[in-house]
Amino acid sequence: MKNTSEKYGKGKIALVTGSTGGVGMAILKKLASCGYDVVMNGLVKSQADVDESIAKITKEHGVKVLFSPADHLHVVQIEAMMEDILQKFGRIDVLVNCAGILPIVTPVEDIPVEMWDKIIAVNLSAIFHTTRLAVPVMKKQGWGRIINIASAHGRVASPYKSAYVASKHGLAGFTKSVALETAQDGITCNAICPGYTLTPNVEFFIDAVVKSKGMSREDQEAFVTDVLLEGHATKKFVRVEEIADFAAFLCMDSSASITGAMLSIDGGWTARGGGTVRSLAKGI
Amino acid sequence: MTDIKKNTKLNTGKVALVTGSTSGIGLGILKKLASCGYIVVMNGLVKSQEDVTEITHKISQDYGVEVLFSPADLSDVSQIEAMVEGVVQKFGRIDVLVNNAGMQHVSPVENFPVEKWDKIIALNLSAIFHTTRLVVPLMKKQGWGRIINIASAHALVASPYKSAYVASKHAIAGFTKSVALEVAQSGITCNAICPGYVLTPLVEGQIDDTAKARGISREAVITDVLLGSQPTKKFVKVEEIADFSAFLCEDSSASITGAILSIDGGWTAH
Repeated sequence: MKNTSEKYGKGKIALVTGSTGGVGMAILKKLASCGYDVVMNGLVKSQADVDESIAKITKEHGVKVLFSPADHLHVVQIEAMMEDILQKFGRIDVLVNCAGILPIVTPVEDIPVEMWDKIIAVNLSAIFHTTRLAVPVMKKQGWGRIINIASAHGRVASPYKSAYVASKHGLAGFTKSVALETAQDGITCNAICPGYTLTPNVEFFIDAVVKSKGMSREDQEAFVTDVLLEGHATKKFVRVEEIADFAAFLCMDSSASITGAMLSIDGGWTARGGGTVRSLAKGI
Repeated sequence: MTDIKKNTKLNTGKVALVTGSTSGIGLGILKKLASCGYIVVMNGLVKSQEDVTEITHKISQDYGVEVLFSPADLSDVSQIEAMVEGVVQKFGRIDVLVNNAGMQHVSPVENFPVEKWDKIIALNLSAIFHTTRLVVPLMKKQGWGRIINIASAHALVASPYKSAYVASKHAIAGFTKSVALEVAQSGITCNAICPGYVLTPLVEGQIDDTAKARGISREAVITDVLLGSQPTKKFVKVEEIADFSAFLCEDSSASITGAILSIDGGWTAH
C-alpha cells in the first residue's frame, strides 16, 4: 500500500521548484524515494550546501539529482532552467510548482507596489512560465503531472495578505484552466492547498514572535494553538511529509482522473472558513 | 472461516465497513481495503445467498482477511442499527467507514415521484447520518478513524432532471464538513470523494432513462451528456476511486479532513 516501496518514477524526471527547504524539499525527497531523477531549485546559502544535499539524496535513493539556482523573479532564468533540464534528461514528467513567498503581512493600502509585483511574479507568473515550457514536452510524452502547491489561501482569504491571497486564488484558477486544456493528453494539473505547515520558515517566525514579545512557554503554546492554528480544527500543524505523500499519490497512474482539483490538506480549516481573522485582528 | 492466510499487513485487525459494496465502486473499495489488510464488512443488494457466499469466500481467499456480510437495507434505520451492532459484536471495533451506497432517479422536478424523493434522501443522505452517528463514538474511543463519503461531482455542480440526487449529494458535502470539525481532535478524519462519471451498473441504468428524458440516443447520452462534461473524455475507473480511498486511510493523511475531493476528469473545474 505504501508508495515508498514502489519505484514507479524510475526513468522519469521530476522538477520541484522551491525545493531547497520546507515543503519543496520534502516533496523532492519523496519523489526521489519513488525512483524519480529530481531537479532541485531554490535559494541556498552556499555551493557546499547544495553539494551536501545532492550527495545525501543520491546516496539514500540512488537517483540523479540536478540543481538549478533559477530565481523565479526572472523569466530568463526560468527558461534557462527548463532548457538545462531538457538538455540533460530530454524529458520532464512531473512539475511541482512549490516556490512561493509571503514577505509581508500588511493592510492593502500600505503594500509597496514593487512588493505586490514581486509576490505576483513569484507565486503566480513563474508558474505560468514553468507550465508553458513543460506542457509541450509532456504532450509529446503523452504523460505528465503538474502539481501546484497553492494554499488554503487559494480558497479563502485572511486580512492583510491581499497579495498572497490574490496570487494563490489566481493559481487555483490557472490550475483549472490548464487541467481543461491538457485533459486529453495524459496530463493532470492539480492544486494542493495546505493549511499551516511546520516549515523552518514558520518555526523561525514563531521563535521571532516569542523572543520579541518575551513569551513564556505557556504563552508560546497558546500563541500556536489559539493564534496560528486558530483555523485548524485539528489544532495540529500539517506536516511536510503529509503534503509530500499527497503529491506522490497524484503522480501515480491511478490518479489519472484527478485533474483540475483543489485538494485541501488543512486540518479542516476551509471546511469551516473563518481561519485567522481573529488572530490577525489582534495585530499578529 | 478456516482458510485464512496468515496476514502480516499493516492494517491487520482493523475493521472497514463499506456500504453498497456488492458491486461497482463499493466493491472496488472493499477489495482494495481487503488488500491493505483490513477485515471488511460488505453490505448491499444481492441476488441470492449463494452469491454472498461465493463473493465473500473469494475476497477472503484472495486477500487473507475475514469478510462479513450485512444485508441491511439502508433506507431502514433499524436495519442500519442492527448492522453496526452486528459488526461491533463480532469485531469490537470499526476503524474505517465508507459510505458508498446510493441511488439515482432521473425525472423533471414537476414529475418527480414523491416516494422516489423520500427514498433517495433516506438512502443517499440520512443513512450516512445514521452510520456516522453510530460509528463516531467507537472511533473516538479508539482515538483513530476514517470516514469517507462517496459523494459525486453532483455534490459541487448540478445536472437537470436529477434534483433529488443533486440535493442529497450537496447535502453530503455539508454534512462531511460539519462532522470533520466535530471529530477533528479525536484522530478521526471525515472527507468526501466526488467522482465524475464511472461506468458502474448505476450509471449504465441511467443511460436509457436520460435518453428518454432528453429525447436523444444512447450514444448521444454517453458522448454528449456523460462524457460531455468530463474534459478527459474518459470514464473514471472504479480502481482509481478505491486507491484514493485507501490513500485517505493512511496515517499520513491525518491532516486531510473536511475536504471535498474531486476525481472527475476535470468536470467541476469548468
